Amino acid sequence: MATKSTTPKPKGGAPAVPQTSLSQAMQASMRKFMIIAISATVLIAGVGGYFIWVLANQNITAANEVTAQGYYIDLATQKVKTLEETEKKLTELNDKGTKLVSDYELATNRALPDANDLGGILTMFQKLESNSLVKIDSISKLSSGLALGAAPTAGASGGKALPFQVSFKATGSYDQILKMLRALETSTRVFDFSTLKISGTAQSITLDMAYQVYYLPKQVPTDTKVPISEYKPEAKK
Amino acid sequence: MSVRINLLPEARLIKLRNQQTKRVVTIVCSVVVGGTVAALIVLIVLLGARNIQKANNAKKQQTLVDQLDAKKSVEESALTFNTALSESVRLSKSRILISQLFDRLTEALPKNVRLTDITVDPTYKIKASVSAPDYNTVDLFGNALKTYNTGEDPKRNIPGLARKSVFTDIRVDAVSSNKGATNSNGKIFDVTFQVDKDLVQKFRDDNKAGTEVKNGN
Repeated sequence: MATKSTTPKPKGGAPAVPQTSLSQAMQASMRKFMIIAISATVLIAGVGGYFIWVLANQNITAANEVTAQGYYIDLATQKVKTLEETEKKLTELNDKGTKLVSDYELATNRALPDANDLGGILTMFQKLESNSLVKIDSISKLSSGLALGAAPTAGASGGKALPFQVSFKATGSYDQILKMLRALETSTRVFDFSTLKISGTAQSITLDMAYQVYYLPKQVPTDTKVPISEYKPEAKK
Repeated sequence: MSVRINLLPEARLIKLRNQQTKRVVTIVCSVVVGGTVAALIVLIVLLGARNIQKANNAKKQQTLVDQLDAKKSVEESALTFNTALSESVRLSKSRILISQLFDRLTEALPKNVRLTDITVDPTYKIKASVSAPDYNTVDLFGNALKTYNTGEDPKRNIPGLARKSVFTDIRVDAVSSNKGATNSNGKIFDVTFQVDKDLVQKFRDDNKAGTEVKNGN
């Protein structure tokens, strides 16, 4: 065994051991091992860490999606159940029974139809004419946002009835005119008085009137999207 | 003074030290790598489980969406019915009632004064054109409205309403000759006035009572 005359500095008073070429080779091999081991570990930890970060994010996203799906399923199940009950109630409301019109028909088509045309109004005025004996000379729809009879966009009203103006001319005695006005005021369909012009004699009064009449475009439910972080299922219940 | 005697050869000493260091390094590296791999495996398994759960939920969701689509018409009908009901109530509450106002004005106005044109806004502010035979009657008109229901003339009181002036803020805005009138002195004047809210409420109560009687309630 060859010796190399290197004299390491003494440590803590201990005598320095002279290094041989074998011990130097062993130390070099050890250094190599350390470098490889540490580098490999750092590389694996780095690459692994990156994938851990990616997978953790994917897990969080997936977990949120699963939670959201859970909320959706709960709410949708509840909604399906409610709609089943609603369907039964609607069937009852649509049942005329002994009445001339069903309650559903009364509240929707009679009180607030979905079109801004004169269709339903003409039938009403025909009845008014025969009941109050007033002569109705003309009925016309004054301009509004939509053309006469144009189908309004479903759900465009935002849950509000929309107005349009109707004007008509009626002739009759004072009592007949008053009877007609009272009938309009107590009708299922809301007639809001706007203007009135009076002419003629006490025996034959001619009224030129304008009323605001309302219609309700078909209502369409709109979905609401709530971020998962803001959704509070307890509050919804 | 002590004497240290190294009984092992130097190479053997280094080998033993290196072995120990290698063991420590190997353990540390194994722990780090093992931990990383374990974390990766856990996360992959977890993600797999979540994806399976997600797929199952998506199936359930689709079934529910189909069920809800099938009941869309029910939902729309219910929404339309509810909206129509609430809107009807809202509109009925604020309905402008003219027939009773007509009655009251006929009672309140002097005999030879006639309404020719009337506009009522939702606050019951009235803008009217009134025909009168002369300027004197125009003057009388305002006073007649002011004193209506005040108790000055028992015949000009509204039953069931406290005695007070029910037509206020009376203002004559313009007067012109009525060219169409048989009397050449005939005047047409534009007037605005406010109907008292208690009288409006009485109109509403009376109208409601009338509707209830009509409906047989």
